Amino acid sequence: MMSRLVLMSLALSFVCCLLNPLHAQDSDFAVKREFEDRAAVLKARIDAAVSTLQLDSLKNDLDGFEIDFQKHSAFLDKALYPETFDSRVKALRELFEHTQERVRTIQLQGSQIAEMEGTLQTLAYRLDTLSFQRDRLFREF
Amino acid sequence: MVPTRLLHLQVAVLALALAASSPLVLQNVNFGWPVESVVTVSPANTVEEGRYVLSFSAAPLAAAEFEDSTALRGTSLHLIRNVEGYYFVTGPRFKHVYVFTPRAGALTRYASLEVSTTGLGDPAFNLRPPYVELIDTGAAPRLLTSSDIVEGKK
Repeated sequence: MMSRLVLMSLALSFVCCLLNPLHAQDSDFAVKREFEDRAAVLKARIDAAVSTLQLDSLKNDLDGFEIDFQKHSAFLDKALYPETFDSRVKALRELFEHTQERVRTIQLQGSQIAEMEGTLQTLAYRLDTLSFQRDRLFREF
Repeated sequence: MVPTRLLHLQVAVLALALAASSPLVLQNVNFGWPVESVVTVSPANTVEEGRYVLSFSAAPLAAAEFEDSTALRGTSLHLIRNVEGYYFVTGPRFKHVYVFTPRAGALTRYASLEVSTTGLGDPAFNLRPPYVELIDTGAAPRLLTSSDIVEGKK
């Protein structure tokens, strides 16, 4: 059973390699398109990230993206003119940092809101208690 | 005295005229596009290349390759310019790579390189100075010059 799983995963990896344009054909245009497509997907994912868990995963993907295309950087510098490989990666990393800051702020505000909601509940409970006591005193009086 | 001065004046005028008429040539120009452009032929049978702002009518090319001037409508063309300044054009189903040289308001066929007997599948150009590399699914890469296939001939 285990060996069948290993064989299946190997076959799947082989098919993925065949389907991946970076391996399937040595076309500069395909490399440029693959770079731009992956950059666009990463940007959309960074924009949509709302948790540190998502950001942790994105950090790894961003590193992988840079490593994958590093060997094509000289070509991409020309193909992406007036931008460069470094400027595109830097822009993604800056966006990532801004998003990280935004998520941190949202999470901080979220915990503050939760804390305030807790306080509000306590105060409401105390108000109920005081109202009850006031009513009781009125009745006794 | 006067004839000598007149002669000097004539020589000066002649030298100026020669300088003005001699061609000014800038050498070592690299016209190469780092990456090919893939463009779609419009319903009006024209091609608009965005990055290098090149546009032309695809009808004569379609007529030359497919004997049907409308055969390229809606299809994609692959274009690249080599370091010498020649334009290379081909596309799926093409049996040839067409090499064009720019003229005033026109691209003139410089050569037609036969690259397939059955038609290309999914071709792509790469700039590999001084050559242009043609790749296609299931075929070995070929190196092209403006007039010949120098490596990977069928």
